Amino acid sequence: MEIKSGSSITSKQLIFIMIGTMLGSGILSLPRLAAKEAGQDAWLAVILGSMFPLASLSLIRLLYKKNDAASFVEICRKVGGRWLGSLFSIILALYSVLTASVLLRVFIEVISMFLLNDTPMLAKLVLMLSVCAYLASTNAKVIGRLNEFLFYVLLPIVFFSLPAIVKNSDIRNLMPVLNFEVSDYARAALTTGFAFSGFELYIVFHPYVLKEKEAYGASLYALLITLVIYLYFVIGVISVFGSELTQKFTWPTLRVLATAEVPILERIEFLFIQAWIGVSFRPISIQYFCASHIIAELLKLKSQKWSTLGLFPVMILIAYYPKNIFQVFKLSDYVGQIALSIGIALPLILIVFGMFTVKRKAVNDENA
Amino acid sequence: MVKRLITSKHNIKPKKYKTIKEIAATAHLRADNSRKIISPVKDKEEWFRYELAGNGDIVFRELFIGGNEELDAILIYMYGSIDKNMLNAYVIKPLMSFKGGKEKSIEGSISYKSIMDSCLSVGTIKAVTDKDLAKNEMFEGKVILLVNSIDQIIIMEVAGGKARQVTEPESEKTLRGTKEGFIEDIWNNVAVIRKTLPDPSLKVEVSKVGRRTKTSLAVVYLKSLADDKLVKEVKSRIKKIDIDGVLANGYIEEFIEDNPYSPFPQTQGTEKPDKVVAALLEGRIAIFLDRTPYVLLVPAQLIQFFQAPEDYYERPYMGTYIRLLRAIAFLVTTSAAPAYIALTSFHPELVPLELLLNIAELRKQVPFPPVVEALIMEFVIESLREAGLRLPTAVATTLGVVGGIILGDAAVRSNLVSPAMIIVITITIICNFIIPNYSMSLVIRLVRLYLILLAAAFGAFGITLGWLVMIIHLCKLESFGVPYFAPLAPTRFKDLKDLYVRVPIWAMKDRPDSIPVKDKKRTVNAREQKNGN
Repeated sequence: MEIKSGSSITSKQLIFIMIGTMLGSGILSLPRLAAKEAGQDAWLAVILGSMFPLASLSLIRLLYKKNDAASFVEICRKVGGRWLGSLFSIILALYSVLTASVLLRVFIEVISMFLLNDTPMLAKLVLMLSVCAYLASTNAKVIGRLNEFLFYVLLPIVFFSLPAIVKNSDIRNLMPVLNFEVSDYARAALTTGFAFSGFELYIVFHPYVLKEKEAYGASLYALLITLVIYLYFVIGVISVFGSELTQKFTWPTLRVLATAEVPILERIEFLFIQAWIGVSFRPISIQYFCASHIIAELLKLKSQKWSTLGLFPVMILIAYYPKNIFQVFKLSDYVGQIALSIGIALPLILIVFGMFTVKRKAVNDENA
Repeated sequence: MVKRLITSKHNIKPKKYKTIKEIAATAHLRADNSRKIISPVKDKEEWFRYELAGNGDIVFRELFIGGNEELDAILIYMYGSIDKNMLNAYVIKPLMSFKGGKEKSIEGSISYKSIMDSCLSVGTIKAVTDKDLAKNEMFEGKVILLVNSIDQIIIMEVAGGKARQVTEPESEKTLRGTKEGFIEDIWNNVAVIRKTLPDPSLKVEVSKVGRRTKTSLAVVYLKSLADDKLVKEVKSRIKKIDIDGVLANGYIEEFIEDNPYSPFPQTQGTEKPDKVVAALLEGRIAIFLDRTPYVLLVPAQLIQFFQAPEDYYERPYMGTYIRLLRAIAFLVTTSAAPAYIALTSFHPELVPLELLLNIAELRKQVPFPPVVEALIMEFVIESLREAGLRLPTAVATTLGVVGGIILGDAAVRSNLVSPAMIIVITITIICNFIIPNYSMSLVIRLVRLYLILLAAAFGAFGITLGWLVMIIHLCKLESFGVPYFAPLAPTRFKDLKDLYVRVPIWAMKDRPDSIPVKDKKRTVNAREQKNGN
């Protein structure tokens, strides 16, 4: 398989790839979503929300432990047979295309609001997706390197917000703790779990890790780092604005940055947005990569470039479809829910199917 | 005398040539100036004269060995490529006074062996029977000797011609390092490396490239250090080169690099022996090419283009300071002009009010948008630079004054370009000169243009995307299996001590992590041992 050649990554790179997929537009919107559901206890909701990805990662690990396979498509075929297996792979590819498109649109909405108002939506979409397509047409190795580099480069921007948060924060905004019903927390966790979407792609990257034993641990590290960064923003934003006000802003994190006064630069959030482009183009690219990777392998394409190219107009169409930001948010809510269900259900189904097929094989062997 | 010739059965193949008697007769006739009967030497000479016809620079020097008229011989060489004094003193003179050496007393005759062994005092000498081979060697600057009644053709090297003096490389000047630079002659260059690095495991594997130019190429590496797979890969890629002519290292570079469409240089070129030796000691491989005072080092990585030998020759603090300066200069030279364009045309609200008013005041009467200004300035300055490169120094200075000072001043006065833009572009150009490697500074000019266009179309968003594409591209690049962007991506923390900072030499205990070598250890920290005692 030429597509897979040069795809092996180190477990360290897997950490950065996973952070890259999970950390995205959540930085800007998670405080709002979490505050809406759980008020001042939003941070608790975020921690609870991380249980979903945790479960998903464990299931995926179990799947690969039970079945030996060199790639996601292969494991699907092994477990579900030729047709059903292909169907499973296609479901993930479709989901990835949908997610990437919606993320792309959300991304462009932010860009339109803060950087480019007048440029036509379509031009911005095409421009941005071209950059993502360039990355998506490469292999896992390159994606690993890029994520590793950008992680270190962009980590400092997390702390851009530190002066603003420290200056204006009030610990009373986070009080009182544990003021909600258990069912509220459960509902909130469902919402916040979506911010981690991207974890399900672990199912694609797992077989490419050189030392497969380290892969699961690496993914847990990635989850932990993502959780810490999200918690930092959620706690920071809510401690500045309080849960009521946080819900009112579309992008509360940027509002916090706007309160900071820095010499020379009039608006620090401008720099933050620039760096944020580097953060949030990654989930789009990685989702895009996974979709075109799966399709290339299914169709036995010589080069992943063709499937990347083929998906390009589809994604532009999906991203261009919502008429306004409210529709975008609605769509992104759906996608978040799908992410949770795919992340849990897909590995679970595969495991169950695997048990049957393995049994059937055993029976066949006995008969023979 | 005739008798002596007759007794020499040694080298005469009876089948191919006339009988000994006939030869004797020929010699006799030849003495009578009769040219009709062709002697063996004449036979070969005819062939060479025919093959080499139309070449005015090729000399046929006839002589009699030891004054013996039967032993006539011919030297064939190219006039410009031999050392005349050496030819006269060590080839022609001994030949003319040659008495046959030891063999004379035994057999009373002469053989090619005895000529080679006891007559010609030339270091590089060999005998062949293939006339075509001899001809080709002659064209490479050798002298060939045909002797009557001897089948072999003697080929010797009496190389001369003018070689350029060893000078300090113009583009890589240093204050504390060696002032020696490479010259066009490959053997001189290899010798300089041998002199600096007399390690017995230093291998110099020579081959020829170019069907017509037949240029010598040497792959130089430390056998005890360089990774075998890497050496094999380099050699196999060089072997695959099939082209009629190789004029400079650039040809080789384009044939062997991993990503032929990338704008970034994937082999590091240098004119300085100390750089080559430093690379060899890191387990890298040097490719020398004849007629090029420029050596290619592979595998190359991005950061190597931003390092200079002086970083290591001066104190570590200075090295670190200069590296940081270069990093900032790199950012400025690529992004200052695009950032200015993005700020003035897309995001004026980001500029502090007073500065904004200043800029607006300066730009008040300029009719163009900033991007056009920038492109005009870029065009003028790039043209000036390109013109200055080719012109004689005296004229270039005038050009600088006329182009830079007068034109710049006039452009501002006539409101074609705002002074702010002139400042930005000038800083950009100065910073470009800080990049120590010429190939890289060329690429950076392209990168700047690309970012300027993106900034003009999409503002700061465009610049960021431009940078992202560049970073993706750099992550994608590999040079002989070594990640081009390492140690940044993949991040190798061990190598970071020689990236932005330059730690003391004794603290760099290991060779770079990203290049495969057989022996990682570079130094045992002598300082720590001393402190321990």
